[in-house]
Amino acid sequence: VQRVKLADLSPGGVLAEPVYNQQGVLLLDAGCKLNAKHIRIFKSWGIESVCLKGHSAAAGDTSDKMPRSAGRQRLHAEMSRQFSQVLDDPLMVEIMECALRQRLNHAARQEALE
Amino acid sequence: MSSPELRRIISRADDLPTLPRTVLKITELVNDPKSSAKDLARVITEDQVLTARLLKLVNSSFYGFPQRISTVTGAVVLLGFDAIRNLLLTTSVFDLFAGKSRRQIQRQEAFWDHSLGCALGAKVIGEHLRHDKVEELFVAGLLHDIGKIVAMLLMPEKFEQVSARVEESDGLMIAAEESVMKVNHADIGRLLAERWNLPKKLIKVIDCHHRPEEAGNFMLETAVVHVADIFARALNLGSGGDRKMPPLSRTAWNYLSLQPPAIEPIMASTLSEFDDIRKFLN
Repeated sequence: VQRVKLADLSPGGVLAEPVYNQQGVLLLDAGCKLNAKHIRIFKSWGIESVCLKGHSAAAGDTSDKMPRSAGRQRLHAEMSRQFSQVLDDPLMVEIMECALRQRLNHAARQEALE
Repeated sequence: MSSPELRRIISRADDLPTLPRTVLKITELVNDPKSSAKDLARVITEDQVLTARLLKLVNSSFYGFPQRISTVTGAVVLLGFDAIRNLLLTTSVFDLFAGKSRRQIQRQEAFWDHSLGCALGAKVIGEHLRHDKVEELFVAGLLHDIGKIVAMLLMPEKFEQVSARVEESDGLMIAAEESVMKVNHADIGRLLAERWNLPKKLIKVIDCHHRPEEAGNFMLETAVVHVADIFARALNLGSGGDRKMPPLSRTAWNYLSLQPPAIEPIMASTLSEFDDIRKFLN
């Protein structure tokens, strides 16, 4: 089993663990074979990585990025609630993704200033 | 909309906030083709606070003029009549609504931050579209939710009920207003804008920012503010009074021919201008 970042995912991989969104709703169950649409849906929900079968585990490889990643997850969850009634509109998904990145960058800049 | 509630507000129209006399006079002068930069400068310099603000703002990074502008006439010549009117309207409107309770003040600050975020977003979108009157878009964005402030001040009890409804339903403010007050902030804002004799364009943007398809001749301005409102909410600049996102009007989006790759640069500029200008207005 290996945790694979979303950017490195390609169709054909098989999920070793189920994938949930920030509200805990199941997006795709363990054992499913990924296709391009699944990967797009993960992206729209801000999923950062998933566990795939057949890969050797590489422990601790993302530990140094944990705090930032935790902040991102929190903000993503907050924004998903804010956008919950409009996420069927792909443009609104795009707006949410852009705003999420900008808010994280802005927060990082403010932090650096302090 | 002509609900009993709106008629009741109209009947209390004398309670509606008025603009400072200087700003009204300036609006008159700007509308008069015979007035000169000197006439305008004379009226402005009669008011020391406005003069100080005008000079502070024209010398801020918001305008980015290379050299220092030290006279009001200089500012009028450089910026133009409409821009001066809009600028003074902006700073005066900020003063107009001095909240009474701490809670009101906090809410007003959040509204104003949202309005400012929307105003800057509208300006940045305007620049992206190479619109020649971005000042106008700025003011339209700033005033789009003015009806919320009026509701808060003139109908405090109803407004509390609206806020409670927003909390309990976790829905949109406009839906809560319509269910509690039978009238929404766009209707109330239109009423105030008419009373202030604001330009038709501004009245239309205030009235139609949640339904830009109905904006007729002022579709462009209304669509810009509609999109800027959504961007400001997404960027969490202040608060529109709720935590939900209203739907994006596809008519407005298509009218502006904005492309998805433009979204993020527009947001980045909006955020950076927001940080800059907030220092001046607070």
